[in-house]
Amino acid sequence: MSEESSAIPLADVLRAANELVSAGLIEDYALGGALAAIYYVEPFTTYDADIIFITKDKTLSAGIPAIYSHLQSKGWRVEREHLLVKDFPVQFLAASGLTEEAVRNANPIEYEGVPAKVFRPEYIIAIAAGVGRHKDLARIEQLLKQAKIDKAVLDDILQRYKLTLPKL
Amino acid sequence: MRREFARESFEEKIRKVGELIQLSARVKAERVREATEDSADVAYLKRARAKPQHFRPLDDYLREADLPPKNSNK
Repeated sequence: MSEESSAIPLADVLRAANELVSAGLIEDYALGGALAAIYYVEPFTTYDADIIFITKDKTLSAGIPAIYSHLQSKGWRVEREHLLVKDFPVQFLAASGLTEEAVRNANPIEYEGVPAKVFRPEYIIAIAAGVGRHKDLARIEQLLKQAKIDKAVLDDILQRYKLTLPKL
Repeated sequence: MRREFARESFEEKIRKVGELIQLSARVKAERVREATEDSADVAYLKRARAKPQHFRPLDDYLREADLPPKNSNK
């Protein structure tokens, strides 16, 4: 992201994701990753946005070429695994298993007047437990300390996906 | 305090993350600039040391450079 960009263009990202749903290119989506965690905890640095989507196209490509060409037609640029809107990198990731369930159960929100969905904290914790990098463990600790967690929901997710929380 | 930050609006949090990104970009750019300057200095020193060293009295240098002598208060 260039220094001149004054802010994260999240409203543009969410608007574009809503357009993908309207255009029938994806079934549904939710904001995941660090920005989803920031919805529930104090802000911290992150350099991209993760949009996790449920595919309409069940082939191996998950409809990603069509998504890319739609967004490129709207002025988005491609840079390696990211799509860039106003120089801010966004990753579109096809959901499956736990992440698909996370999209289906995501919390509806409104961001600068744009309707969207964001992963529930219980799912962010479970996904982070599954990935297990240092930053994921830090995210789990932060969410457990700062967010309202439904322990029953979290336990249920962890049990069904055979995940365990790290000892903090 | 952290819980208070956690309760801020999402829009406010995203604005702060944007500021953090800008700050980080500025620090990175400054580091790159400093590293470039450092490598230019190192290259100059290398070139300078490759030449045979020649010393002369300070007064001679000052005279050639048309500068006042070292004990002058002018």
